[in-house]
Amino acid sequence: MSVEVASETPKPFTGGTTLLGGAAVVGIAGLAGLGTIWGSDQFYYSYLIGYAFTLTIVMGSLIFLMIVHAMGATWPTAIRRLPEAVVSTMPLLAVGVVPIWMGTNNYPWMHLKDFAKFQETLHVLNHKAMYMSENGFRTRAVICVVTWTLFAEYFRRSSLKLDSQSDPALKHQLKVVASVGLPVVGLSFTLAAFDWVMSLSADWASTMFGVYFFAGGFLSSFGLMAINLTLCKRAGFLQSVNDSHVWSIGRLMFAFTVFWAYISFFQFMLIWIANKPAETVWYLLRIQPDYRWVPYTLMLGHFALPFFFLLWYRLKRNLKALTAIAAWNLAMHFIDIHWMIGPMRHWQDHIGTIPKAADAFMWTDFAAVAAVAGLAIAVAVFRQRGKFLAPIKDPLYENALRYDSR
Amino acid sequence: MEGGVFGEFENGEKLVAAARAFKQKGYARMDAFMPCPVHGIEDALGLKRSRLGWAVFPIAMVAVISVMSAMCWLNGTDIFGGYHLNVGGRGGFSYPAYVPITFEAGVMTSALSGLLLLFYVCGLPRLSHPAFDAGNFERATIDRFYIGVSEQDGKFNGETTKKEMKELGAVSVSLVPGDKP
Repeated sequence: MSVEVASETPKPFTGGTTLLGGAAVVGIAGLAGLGTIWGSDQFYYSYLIGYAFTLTIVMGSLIFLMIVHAMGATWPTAIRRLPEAVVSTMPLLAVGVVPIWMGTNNYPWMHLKDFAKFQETLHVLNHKAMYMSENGFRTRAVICVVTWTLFAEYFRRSSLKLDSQSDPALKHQLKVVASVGLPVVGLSFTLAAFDWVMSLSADWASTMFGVYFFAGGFLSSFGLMAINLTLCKRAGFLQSVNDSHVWSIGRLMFAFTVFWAYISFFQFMLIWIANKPAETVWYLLRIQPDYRWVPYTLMLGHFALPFFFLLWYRLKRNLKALTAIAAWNLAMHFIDIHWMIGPMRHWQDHIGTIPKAADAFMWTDFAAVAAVAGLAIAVAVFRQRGKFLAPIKDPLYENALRYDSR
Repeated sequence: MEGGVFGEFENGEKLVAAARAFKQKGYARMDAFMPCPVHGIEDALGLKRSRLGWAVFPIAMVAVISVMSAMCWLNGTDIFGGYHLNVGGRGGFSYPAYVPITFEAGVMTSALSGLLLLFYVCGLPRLSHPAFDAGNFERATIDRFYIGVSEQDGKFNGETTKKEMKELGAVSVSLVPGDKP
Protein backbone atom coordinates (compact mmCIF):
# COMPACT_ATOMS: atom_id res chain seq x y z
CA MET A 1 0.00 0.00 0.00
CA SER A 2 2.77 2.43 0.82
CA VAL A 3 6.38 2.75 -0.20
CA GLU A 4 9.13 1.06 1.69
CA VAL A 5 10.81 3.66 3.87
CA ALA A 6 14.53 3.07 4.06
CA SER A 7 15.26 2.42 7.71
CA GLU A 8 17.45 5.16 9.05
CA THR A 9 18.25 6.41 12.52
CA PRO A 10 18.32 10.19 12.18
CA LYS A 11 21.62 11.58 13.34
CA PRO A 12 22.76 15.16 13.67
CA PHE A 13 24.83 16.58 10.85
CA THR A 14 28.54 16.26 11.45
CA GLY A 15 31.49 16.63 9.16
CA GLY A 16 31.37 18.92 6.16
CA THR A 17 34.74 20.26 7.35
CA THR A 18 36.22 20.09 3.85
CA LEU A 19 33.27 21.95 2.36
CA LEU A 20 33.29 24.50 5.16
CA GLY A 21 37.01 25.09 4.89
CA GLY A 22 37.06 25.08 1.10
CA ALA A 23 34.15 27.50 0.83
CA ALA A 24 35.67 29.81 3.42
CA VAL A 25 39.03 29.83 1.61
CA VAL A 26 37.34 30.52 -1.74
CA GLY A 27 35.24 33.24 -0.13
CA ILE A 28 38.19 34.95 1.51
CA ALA A 29 40.23 34.70 -1.71
CA GLY A 30 37.32 36.30 -3.57
CA LEU A 31 37.08 39.03 -0.95
CA ALA A 32 40.81 39.66 -1.24
CA GLY A 33 40.45 39.92 -5.03
CA LEU A 34 37.59 42.37 -4.63
CA GLY A 35 39.62 44.28 -2.06
CA THR A 36 42.19 45.21 -4.70
CA ILE A 37 39.58 47.29 -6.50
CA TRP A 38 37.73 48.52 -3.41
CA GLY A 39 35.91 51.79 -3.95
CA SER A 40 36.04 51.79 -7.75
CA ASP A 41 33.06 51.58 -10.09
CA GLN A 42 34.18 48.16 -11.14
CA PHE A 43 34.03 47.01 -7.53
CA TYR A 44 30.41 48.03 -7.17
CA TYR A 45 29.10 46.33 -10.32
CA SER A 46 31.10 43.16 -9.69
CA TYR A 47 29.94 43.04 -6.09
CA LEU A 48 26.33 43.62 -7.12
CA ILE A 49 26.56 40.67 -9.54
CA GLY A 50 27.93 38.37 -6.84
CA TYR A 51 25.43 39.60 -4.27
CA ALA A 52 22.41 39.42 -6.59
CA PHE A 53 23.40 35.91 -7.73
CA THR A 54 23.52 34.61 -4.15
CA LEU A 55 20.57 36.64 -2.86
CA THR A 56 18.14 35.52 -5.57
CA ILE A 57 18.85 31.85 -4.74
CA VAL A 58 18.51 32.41 -0.98
CA MET A 59 15.30 34.39 -1.47
CA GLY A 60 13.99 31.67 -3.78
CA SER A 61 14.57 29.14 -0.98
CA LEU A 62 12.89 31.43 1.58
CA ILE A 63 9.82 31.91 -0.60
CA PHE A 64 9.68 28.16 -1.27
CA LEU A 65 9.76 27.49 2.49
CA MET A 66 7.00 30.01 3.10
CA ILE A 67 4.83 28.49 0.35
CA VAL A 68 5.38 25.03 1.85
CA HIS A 69 4.28 26.23 5.30
CA ALA A 70 1.35 28.24 3.98
CA MET A 71 0.05 25.25 2.03
CA GLY A 72 0.72 22.72 4.76
CA ALA A 73 2.46 20.63 2.11
CA THR A 74 3.52 17.16 3.19
CA TRP A 75 6.26 15.86 0.90
CA PRO A 76 8.67 18.82 1.24
CA THR A 77 8.90 18.13 4.99
CA ALA A 78 11.35 15.33 4.15
CA ILE A 79 13.78 17.74 2.46
CA ARG A 80 12.76 20.96 4.22
CA ARG A 81 16.03 21.29 6.11
CA LEU A 82 17.89 21.83 2.82
CA PRO A 83 16.24 25.18 1.94
CA GLU A 84 16.36 26.01 5.65
CA ALA A 85 20.12 25.59 5.58
CA VAL A 86 20.22 27.90 2.55
CA VAL A 87 18.18 30.64 4.24
CA SER A 88 20.39 30.40 7.32
CA THR A 89 22.82 32.57 5.31
CA MET A 90 20.40 35.50 5.39
CA PRO A 91 22.16 37.29 8.32
CA LEU A 92 25.39 37.22 6.28
CA LEU A 93 23.60 38.67 3.28
CA ALA A 94 22.07 41.32 5.53
CA VAL A 95 25.57 42.42 6.44
CA GLY A 96 26.50 42.13 2.77
CA VAL A 97 24.08 44.92 1.90
CA VAL A 98 26.56 47.46 3.29
CA PRO A 99 28.43 48.02 -0.01
CA ILE A 100 25.07 48.55 -1.70
CA TRP A 101 24.08 50.98 1.04
CA MET A 102 27.32 52.83 0.37
CA GLY A 103 27.15 52.52 -3.40
CA THR A 104 24.37 54.96 -4.25
CA ASN A 105 26.89 57.01 -6.21
CA ASN A 106 26.81 54.37 -8.96
CA TYR A 107 23.18 55.04 -9.87
CA PRO A 108 22.11 57.57 -12.52
CA TRP A 109 19.44 59.13 -10.30
CA MET A 110 22.30 60.48 -8.16
CA HIS A 111 23.73 62.35 -11.15
CA LEU A 112 20.96 64.52 -12.53
CA LYS A 113 23.54 67.06 -13.77
CA ASP A 114 25.01 64.53 -16.23
CA PHE A 115 21.65 64.39 -17.99
CA ALA A 116 21.27 68.16 -18.43
CA LYS A 117 21.42 67.81 -22.23
CA PHE A 118 18.84 65.03 -22.34
CA GLN A 119 15.60 66.70 -21.38
CA GLU A 120 13.40 63.63 -21.65
CA THR A 121 15.62 61.45 -19.49
CA LEU A 122 15.99 64.31 -17.05
CA HIS A 123 12.22 64.67 -16.93
CA VAL A 124 11.83 61.01 -16.06
CA LEU A 125 14.57 61.19 -13.44
CA ASN A 126 13.04 64.29 -11.88
CA HIS A 127 9.67 62.62 -11.83
CA LYS A 128 11.15 59.66 -9.94
CA ALA A 129 13.26 61.83 -7.60
CA MET A 130 10.78 61.62 -4.73
CA TYR A 131 11.20 57.85 -4.65
CA MET A 132 14.67 57.29 -6.06
CA SER A 133 16.64 59.36 -3.58
CA GLU A 134 19.69 58.42 -1.57
CA ASN A 135 17.75 58.31 1.71
CA GLY A 136 14.86 56.41 0.21
CA PHE A 137 17.19 53.86 -1.35
CA ARG A 138 19.09 53.32 1.89
CA THR A 139 15.98 53.12 4.04
CA ARG A 140 14.39 50.58 1.73
CA ALA A 141 17.58 48.51 1.58
CA VAL A 142 17.71 48.28 5.38
CA ILE A 143 13.98 47.52 5.69
CA CYS A 144 14.29 44.80 3.04
CA VAL A 145 17.23 42.91 4.53
CA VAL A 146 15.89 43.22 8.09
CA THR A 147 12.48 41.86 7.01
CA TRP A 148 14.04 38.96 5.12
CA THR A 149 16.43 38.12 7.96
CA LEU A 150 13.60 38.10 10.51
CA PHE A 151 11.49 35.79 8.36
CA ALA A 152 14.43 33.53 7.48
CA GLU A 153 15.50 33.18 11.11
CA TYR A 154 11.94 32.65 12.28
CA PHE A 155 11.28 29.80 9.85
CA ARG A 156 14.62 28.14 10.45
CA ARG A 157 14.52 28.36 14.25
CA SER A 158 10.89 27.26 14.51
CA SER A 159 11.67 24.27 12.33
CA LEU A 160 14.67 23.39 14.53
CA LYS A 161 12.32 23.41 17.54
CA LEU A 162 10.35 20.67 15.78
CA ASP A 163 13.45 18.43 16.00
CA SER A 164 13.00 17.90 19.73
CA GLN A 165 9.23 17.81 20.12
CA SER A 166 6.15 17.60 17.98
CA ASP A 167 4.16 20.80 18.40
CA PRO A 168 0.94 21.22 16.38
CA ALA A 169 0.43 24.75 17.77
CA LEU A 170 3.78 25.81 16.36
CA LYS A 171 2.85 24.21 13.02
CA HIS A 172 -0.26 26.37 12.94
CA GLN A 173 1.71 29.48 13.86
CA LEU A 174 4.16 28.75 11.02
CA LYS A 175 1.24 28.52 8.63
CA VAL A 176 -0.19 31.87 9.74
CA VAL A 177 3.17 33.67 9.63
CA ALA A 178 3.94 32.20 6.20
CA SER A 179 0.58 33.25 4.76
CA VAL A 180 0.88 36.78 6.13
CA GLY A 181 4.57 37.02 5.27
CA LEU A 182 4.48 35.89 1.64
CA PRO A 183 3.11 39.16 0.21
CA VAL A 184 5.46 41.15 2.45
CA VAL A 185 8.53 39.24 1.29
CA GLY A 186 7.35 39.16 -2.34
CA LEU A 187 6.74 42.89 -2.48
CA SER A 188 9.93 43.85 -0.66
CA PHE A 189 11.93 41.60 -2.99
CA THR A 190 10.34 43.32 -5.99
CA LEU A 191 11.24 46.72 -4.55
CA ALA A 192 14.81 45.55 -4.01
CA ALA A 193 15.00 44.37 -7.63
CA PHE A 194 13.73 47.77 -8.79
CA ASP A 195 16.12 49.68 -6.53
CA TRP A 196 19.32 47.71 -6.85
CA VAL A 197 19.24 46.45 -10.41
CA MET A 198 16.54 48.12 -12.51
CA SER A 199 17.36 51.67 -11.44
CA LEU A 200 20.87 51.24 -12.90
CA SER A 201 19.15 52.30 -16.13
CA ALA A 202 18.20 55.96 -15.92
CA ASP A 203 14.80 55.94 -17.57
CA TRP A 204 14.01 52.30 -18.20
CA ALA A 205 11.19 50.58 -16.37
CA SER A 206 9.53 47.19 -16.68
CA THR A 207 6.69 46.12 -14.43
CA MET A 208 7.81 42.53 -14.98
CA PHE A 209 11.33 43.11 -13.72
CA GLY A 210 10.73 42.01 -10.13
CA VAL A 211 9.29 38.71 -11.35
CA TYR A 212 12.13 38.29 -13.85
CA PHE A 213 14.67 38.81 -11.06
CA PHE A 214 12.82 36.31 -8.87
CA ALA A 215 12.13 33.65 -11.52
CA GLY A 216 15.76 32.71 -12.16
CA GLY A 217 16.54 32.60 -8.45
CA PHE A 218 13.52 30.46 -7.66
CA LEU A 219 14.54 27.98 -10.36
CA SER A 220 18.12 27.92 -9.08
CA SER A 221 16.94 27.35 -5.52
CA PHE A 222 15.46 24.01 -6.67
CA GLY A 223 18.72 23.25 -8.44
CA LEU A 224 20.62 23.95 -5.25
CA MET A 225 18.18 21.69 -3.41
CA ALA A 226 19.03 18.81 -5.77
CA ILE A 227 22.76 19.44 -5.38
CA ASN A 228 22.49 19.60 -1.58
CA LEU A 229 20.43 16.42 -1.55
CA THR A 230 23.17 14.65 -3.53
CA LEU A 231 25.84 15.89 -1.13
CA CYS A 232 23.80 14.80 1.91
CA LYS A 233 23.06 11.37 0.45
CA ARG A 234 26.68 10.87 -0.45
CA ALA A 235 27.68 11.70 3.12
CA GLY A 236 25.23 9.09 4.40
CA PHE A 237 22.35 11.37 5.44
CA LEU A 238 18.74 11.59 4.21
CA GLN A 239 18.74 7.97 3.00
CA SER A 240 14.96 7.84 3.45
CA VAL A 241 14.39 10.51 0.81
CA ASN A 242 13.10 8.52 -2.15
CA ASP A 243 12.68 8.85 -5.91
CA SER A 244 9.28 10.47 -5.52
CA HIS A 245 10.82 13.39 -3.63
CA VAL A 246 13.50 13.70 -6.30
CA TRP A 247 10.79 13.68 -8.95
CA SER A 248 8.96 16.47 -7.14
CA ILE A 249 12.07 18.63 -7.14
CA GLY A 250 12.53 17.77 -10.83
CA ARG A 251 8.95 18.73 -11.64
CA LEU A 252 9.41 22.08 -9.92
CA MET A 253 12.65 22.64 -11.85
CA PHE A 254 10.82 21.85 -15.06
CA ALA A 255 7.90 24.14 -14.22
CA PHE A 256 10.13 27.07 -13.33
CA THR A 257 12.39 26.58 -16.34
CA VAL A 258 9.25 27.27 -18.36
CA PHE A 259 8.22 30.07 -15.99
CA TRP A 260 11.58 31.82 -16.36
CA ALA A 261 11.43 31.51 -20.14
CA TYR A 262 7.87 32.80 -20.22
CA ILE A 263 8.67 35.83 -18.03
CA SER A 264 11.91 36.81 -19.70
CA PHE A 265 10.74 36.20 -23.24
CA PHE A 266 7.49 38.13 -22.87
CA GLN A 267 9.25 41.02 -21.17
CA PHE A 268 11.44 41.16 -24.25
CA MET A 269 8.64 40.53 -26.76
CA LEU A 270 6.37 43.29 -25.46
CA ILE A 271 9.21 45.81 -25.48
CA TRP A 272 10.37 44.67 -28.91
CA ILE A 273 6.91 44.85 -30.45
CA ALA A 274 6.03 48.26 -28.94
CA ASN A 275 9.43 49.57 -30.09
CA LYS A 276 9.56 52.66 -27.90
CA PRO A 277 13.06 54.17 -27.61
CA ALA A 278 12.99 54.54 -23.81
CA GLU A 279 12.17 50.85 -23.44
CA THR A 280 14.23 49.24 -26.18
CA VAL A 281 17.44 50.87 -24.95
CA TRP A 282 17.74 48.22 -22.22
CA TYR A 283 17.91 45.41 -24.77
CA LEU A 284 19.86 47.46 -27.31
CA LEU A 285 22.65 47.92 -24.79
CA ARG A 286 22.58 44.19 -24.05
CA ILE A 287 23.06 43.04 -27.63
CA GLN A 288 26.19 45.11 -28.26
CA PRO A 289 29.04 43.03 -29.74
CA ASP A 290 30.52 41.98 -26.40
CA TYR A 291 27.16 40.72 -25.17
CA ARG A 292 25.53 39.51 -28.34
CA TRP A 293 26.10 35.83 -27.57
CA VAL A 294 24.42 36.10 -24.17
CA PRO A 295 20.72 36.22 -25.15
CA TYR A 296 21.22 33.27 -27.51
CA THR A 297 23.08 31.36 -24.82
CA LEU A 298 20.23 32.04 -22.38
CA MET A 299 17.58 30.99 -24.91
CA LEU A 300 19.35 27.69 -25.56
CA GLY A 301 21.04 27.04 -22.22
CA HIS A 302 18.60 28.52 -19.72
CA PHE A 303 15.50 27.30 -21.53
CA ALA A 304 15.71 24.91 -24.50
CA LEU A 305 18.32 22.46 -23.22
CA PRO A 306 16.96 22.01 -19.66
CA PHE A 307 13.41 22.01 -21.05
CA PHE A 308 13.97 19.03 -23.34
CA PHE A 309 15.99 17.16 -20.73
CA LEU A 310 13.49 17.78 -17.96
CA LEU A 311 10.60 16.74 -20.17
CA TRP A 312 11.84 13.19 -19.67
CA TYR A 313 10.24 11.40 -16.71
CA ARG A 314 13.21 9.17 -15.95
CA LEU A 315 15.71 12.03 -15.88
CA LYS A 316 13.55 13.92 -13.38
CA ARG A 317 13.48 10.83 -11.13
CA ASN A 318 17.21 10.31 -11.33
CA LEU A 319 19.07 12.36 -8.75
CA LYS A 320 22.39 12.18 -10.59
CA ALA A 321 20.95 13.51 -13.84
CA LEU A 322 18.97 16.15 -11.99
CA THR A 323 22.09 17.32 -10.16
CA ALA A 324 23.95 17.72 -13.44
CA ILE A 325 21.12 19.82 -14.87
CA ALA A 326 21.00 21.81 -11.63
CA ALA A 327 24.70 22.66 -11.82
CA TRP A 328 24.21 23.77 -15.43
CA ASN A 329 21.25 25.90 -14.31
CA LEU A 330 23.34 27.67 -11.68
CA ALA A 331 25.89 28.63 -14.35
CA MET A 332 23.08 29.92 -16.56
CA HIS A 333 21.64 31.88 -13.64
CA PHE A 334 25.01 33.59 -13.22
CA ILE A 335 25.03 34.58 -16.91
CA ASP A 336 21.44 35.82 -16.59
CA ILE A 337 22.22 37.97 -13.53
CA HIS A 338 25.41 39.20 -15.16
CA TRP A 339 23.45 40.21 -18.23
CA MET A 340 21.14 42.35 -16.08
CA ILE A 341 23.95 44.19 -14.28
CA GLY A 342 27.24 43.86 -16.19
CA PRO A 343 26.36 45.97 -19.26
CA MET A 344 25.59 48.94 -17.00
CA ARG A 345 29.26 49.38 -16.09
CA HIS A 346 30.57 52.80 -17.15
CA TRP A 347 27.13 54.11 -18.00
CA GLN A 348 28.51 57.59 -17.25
CA ASP A 349 30.82 57.36 -20.26
CA HIS A 350 28.07 56.89 -22.77
CA ILE A 351 25.05 58.88 -21.69
CA GLY A 352 22.92 59.52 -24.76
CA THR A 353 24.69 56.94 -26.92
CA ILE A 354 24.90 53.20 -27.09
CA PRO A 355 28.48 52.06 -26.44
CA LYS A 356 30.26 50.18 -29.21
CA ALA A 357 31.91 47.82 -26.76
CA ALA A 358 31.40 47.05 -23.13
CA ASP A 359 33.55 45.06 -20.74
CA ALA A 360 31.79 41.75 -20.74
CA PHE A 361 32.99 39.27 -18.13
CA MET A 362 35.71 40.61 -15.88
CA TRP A 363 37.66 38.49 -13.40
CA THR A 364 36.28 40.55 -10.54
CA ASP A 365 32.75 39.36 -11.35
CA PHE A 366 33.86 35.82 -10.67
CA ALA A 367 35.76 36.96 -7.58
CA ALA A 368 32.57 38.58 -6.28
CA VAL A 369 30.53 35.42 -6.82
CA ALA A 370 33.29 33.41 -5.11
CA ALA A 371 33.32 35.87 -2.21
CA VAL A 372 29.58 36.09 -1.52
CA ALA A 373 28.57 32.54 -2.45
CA GLY A 374 31.70 31.02 -0.84
CA LEU A 375 31.15 32.77 2.48
CA ALA A 376 27.43 31.94 2.31
CA ILE A 377 28.20 28.23 1.87
CA ALA A 378 30.65 28.37 4.77
CA VAL A 379 28.04 30.04 7.01
CA ALA A 380 25.33 27.57 5.98
CA VAL A 381 27.52 24.54 6.70
CA PHE A 382 28.71 26.03 9.98
CA ARG A 383 25.19 26.78 11.20
CA GLN A 384 23.95 23.33 10.17
CA ARG A 385 26.54 21.46 12.25
CA GLY A 386 25.09 19.51 15.14
CA LYS A 387 21.55 19.91 13.81
CA PHE A 388 19.42 17.20 12.25
CA LEU A 389 19.07 17.25 8.46
CA ALA A 390 15.30 16.74 8.66
CA PRO A 391 12.59 18.05 11.01
CA ILE A 392 12.20 14.59 12.57
CA LYS A 393 9.44 15.47 15.06
CA ASP A 394 7.38 17.51 12.63
CA PRO A 395 3.79 16.18 12.64
CA LEU A 396 4.01 15.69 8.88
CA TYR A 397 7.44 14.07 8.77
CA GLU A 398 6.38 10.41 8.94
CA ASN A 399 3.87 10.91 6.15
CA ALA A 400 6.39 12.87 4.09
CA LEU A 401 8.76 9.88 4.10
CA ARG A 402 5.99 7.63 2.79
CA TYR A 403 5.40 9.98 -0.13
CA ASP A 404 4.80 7.95 -3.25
CA SER A 405 4.10 9.54 -6.59
CA ARG A 406 4.51 7.99 -10.00
CA MET B 1 -16.12 -4.65 -24.91
CA GLU B 2 -14.80 -7.37 -22.66
CA GLY B 3 -16.90 -8.78 -19.89
CA GLY B 4 -15.61 -10.77 -16.96
CA VAL B 5 -16.04 -11.31 -13.25
CA PHE B 6 -16.86 -8.27 -11.17
CA GLY B 7 -16.48 -8.29 -7.40
CA GLU B 8 -17.86 -5.74 -4.99
CA PHE B 9 -15.75 -4.68 -1.98
CA GLU B 10 -16.64 -2.60 1.03
CA ASN B 11 -13.59 -0.37 1.22
CA GLY B 12 -10.33 0.66 -0.42
CA GLU B 13 -8.07 -1.49 1.75
CA LYS B 14 -9.94 -4.67 0.85
CA LEU B 15 -9.89 -3.62 -2.81
CA VAL B 16 -6.12 -3.16 -2.82
CA ALA B 17 -5.55 -6.42 -0.94
CA ALA B 18 -7.76 -8.30 -3.41
CA ALA B 19 -6.08 -6.74 -6.44
CA ARG B 20 -2.70 -7.67 -5.02
CA ALA B 21 -3.85 -11.24 -4.40
CA PHE B 22 -5.17 -11.57 -7.95
CA LYS B 23 -1.90 -10.29 -9.33
CA GLN B 24 -0.05 -12.90 -7.29
CA LYS B 25 -2.31 -15.62 -8.65
CA GLY B 26 -1.10 -14.62 -12.10
CA TYR B 27 -3.96 -12.50 -13.42
CA ALA B 28 -2.87 -9.48 -15.46
CA ARG B 29 -5.95 -8.11 -17.25
CA MET B 30 -7.83 -6.39 -14.44
CA ASP B 31 -9.36 -3.05 -13.66
CA ALA B 32 -10.71 -1.30 -10.60
CA PHE B 33 -13.77 0.94 -10.28
CA MET B 34 -13.92 3.29 -7.32
CA PRO B 35 -15.95 6.28 -6.10
CA CYS B 36 -12.75 8.00 -4.86
CA PRO B 37 -8.99 7.68 -5.42
CA VAL B 38 -7.42 4.77 -3.56
CA HIS B 39 -3.73 4.98 -2.76
CA GLY B 40 -1.58 2.18 -4.10
CA ILE B 41 -4.16 0.67 -6.46
CA GLU B 42 -2.03 1.26 -9.57
CA ASP B 43 0.78 -0.66 -7.96
CA ALA B 44 -1.57 -3.45 -6.79
CA LEU B 45 -3.08 -3.84 -10.26
CA GLY B 46 0.38 -3.77 -11.80
CA LEU B 47 -0.43 -0.75 -13.94
CA LYS B 48 2.52 0.95 -15.59
CA ARG B 49 2.93 4.65 -16.17
CA SER B 50 0.92 5.92 -19.14
CA ARG B 51 2.84 5.97 -22.39
CA LEU B 52 0.58 8.64 -23.88
CA GLY B 53 3.35 11.24 -23.59
CA TRP B 54 5.53 9.38 -26.09
CA ALA B 55 2.78 9.77 -28.69
CA VAL B 56 1.74 13.30 -27.76
CA PHE B 57 5.25 14.78 -27.77
CA PRO B 58 6.11 14.02 -31.44
CA ILE B 59 2.69 15.27 -32.54
CA ALA B 60 3.21 18.52 -30.63
CA MET B 61 6.70 18.90 -32.11
CA VAL B 62 5.35 18.43 -35.64
CA ALA B 63 2.75 21.12 -34.93
CA VAL B 64 5.36 23.49 -33.50
CA ILE B 65 7.70 23.08 -36.45
CA SER B 66 4.98 23.33 -39.09
CA VAL B 67 3.34 26.40 -37.54
CA MET B 68 6.69 28.15 -37.23
CA SER B 69 7.64 27.30 -40.83
CA ALA B 70 4.21 28.34 -42.10
CA MET B 71 4.63 31.78 -40.54
CA CYS B 72 8.18 32.12 -41.83
CA TRP B 73 6.92 31.24 -45.30
CA LEU B 74 3.73 33.32 -45.31
CA ASN B 75 5.09 36.45 -43.62
CA GLY B 76 8.76 36.17 -44.46
CA THR B 77 8.88 35.40 -48.16
CA ASP B 78 7.14 36.21 -51.42
CA ILE B 79 7.37 32.69 -52.86
CA PHE B 80 4.36 30.40 -53.42
CA GLY B 81 1.77 32.91 -52.33
CA GLY B 82 3.68 34.20 -49.30
CA TYR B 83 3.42 37.90 -48.57
CA HIS B 84 6.58 39.51 -47.27
CA LEU B 85 5.28 41.47 -44.31
CA ASN B 86 7.38 44.29 -42.91
CA VAL B 87 5.84 45.76 -39.76
CA GLY B 88 7.59 48.80 -38.31
CA GLY B 89 10.84 48.07 -40.15
CA ARG B 90 11.40 44.77 -38.37
CA GLY B 91 11.94 42.84 -41.59
CA GLY B 92 10.34 39.67 -42.82
CA PHE B 93 11.53 36.99 -40.43
CA SER B 94 10.37 38.62 -37.19
CA TYR B 95 10.55 35.38 -35.32
CA PRO B 96 9.92 36.80 -31.81
CA ALA B 97 6.42 37.67 -33.00
CA TYR B 98 5.89 34.05 -34.09
CA VAL B 99 6.81 32.58 -30.72
CA PRO B 100 3.46 33.10 -28.91
CA ILE B 101 1.55 31.47 -31.78
CA THR B 102 4.02 28.60 -31.98
CA PHE B 103 3.77 28.10 -28.23
CA GLU B 104 -0.04 28.14 -28.26
CA ALA B 105 -0.11 25.74 -31.22
CA GLY B 106 2.15 23.36 -29.31
CA VAL B 107 -0.06 23.52 -26.21
CA MET B 108 -3.30 23.11 -28.15
CA THR B 109 -2.02 20.23 -30.27
CA SER B 110 -0.69 18.32 -27.27
CA ALA B 111 -3.94 18.81 -25.35
CA LEU B 112 -6.17 17.81 -28.25
CA SER B 113 -4.05 14.89 -29.42
CA GLY B 114 -3.76 13.70 -25.83
CA LEU B 115 -7.54 13.79 -25.42
CA LEU B 116 -8.27 12.10 -28.76
CA LEU B 117 -5.63 9.40 -28.21
CA LEU B 118 -7.01 8.77 -24.75
CA PHE B 119 -10.50 8.34 -26.21
CA TYR B 120 -9.14 5.95 -28.82
CA VAL B 121 -7.13 3.89 -26.34
CA CYS B 122 -10.07 3.67 -23.90
CA GLY B 123 -12.55 2.80 -26.64
CA LEU B 124 -14.60 5.94 -26.03
CA PRO B 125 -17.18 7.22 -26.71
CA ARG B 126 -19.55 4.38 -25.90
CA LEU B 127 -23.00 4.28 -24.35
CA SER B 128 -22.72 1.06 -22.39
CA HIS B 129 -20.18 -1.28 -20.85
CA PRO B 130 -20.61 -4.86 -19.65
CA ALA B 131 -19.55 -3.73 -16.15
CA PHE B 132 -22.84 -1.85 -15.85
CA ASP B 133 -24.64 -5.18 -15.67
CA ALA B 134 -22.70 -6.30 -12.61
CA GLY B 135 -24.80 -6.42 -9.46
CA ASN B 136 -25.11 -3.14 -7.57
CA PHE B 137 -22.60 -1.56 -9.97
CA GLU B 138 -24.21 1.89 -9.67
CA ARG B 139 -22.76 1.98 -6.15
CA ALA B 140 -19.28 2.26 -7.73
CA THR B 141 -19.98 5.97 -7.88
CA ILE B 142 -21.27 6.13 -4.30
CA ASP B 143 -19.64 3.89 -1.68
CA ARG B 144 -18.51 0.56 -3.10
CA PHE B 145 -15.27 -0.58 -4.71
CA TYR B 146 -15.15 -3.04 -7.62
CA ILE B 147 -12.55 -5.20 -9.24
CA GLY B 148 -13.16 -6.51 -12.72
CA VAL B 149 -11.16 -9.46 -14.07
CA SER B 150 -11.41 -9.67 -17.84
CA GLU B 151 -12.66 -12.79 -19.57
CA GLN B 152 -9.78 -12.34 -22.01
CA ASP B 153 -7.21 -12.90 -19.28
CA GLY B 154 -5.20 -16.05 -19.96
CA LYS B 155 -5.94 -17.43 -16.51
CA PHE B 156 -9.65 -16.57 -16.59
CA ASN B 157 -12.14 -19.30 -15.84
CA GLY B 158 -15.66 -18.11 -14.99
CA GLU B 159 -16.44 -20.34 -12.01
CA THR B 160 -12.91 -20.49 -10.55
CA THR B 161 -12.42 -16.74 -10.76
CA LYS B 162 -15.81 -16.17 -9.14
CA LYS B 163 -14.84 -18.48 -6.28
CA GLU B 164 -11.49 -16.75 -5.84
CA MET B 165 -13.21 -13.37 -5.75
CA LYS B 166 -15.58 -14.62 -3.02
CA GLU B 167 -12.67 -15.96 -1.00
CA LEU B 168 -10.97 -12.57 -1.12
CA GLY B 169 -13.92 -10.96 0.66
CA ALA B 170 -16.16 -9.70 -2.12
CA VAL B 171 -19.66 -8.83 -0.91
CA SER B 172 -21.19 -9.78 -4.23
CA VAL B 173 -19.73 -11.35 -7.35
CA SER B 174 -21.22 -11.35 -10.83
CA LEU B 175 -20.13 -12.93 -14.09
CA VAL B 176 -21.04 -10.69 -17.00
CA PRO B 177 -20.46 -11.76 -20.60
CA GLY B 178 -18.87 -9.25 -22.95
CA ASP B 179 -20.82 -7.69 -25.80
CA LYS B 180 -20.19 -8.88 -29.36
CA PRO B 181 -17.52 -6.89 -31.16
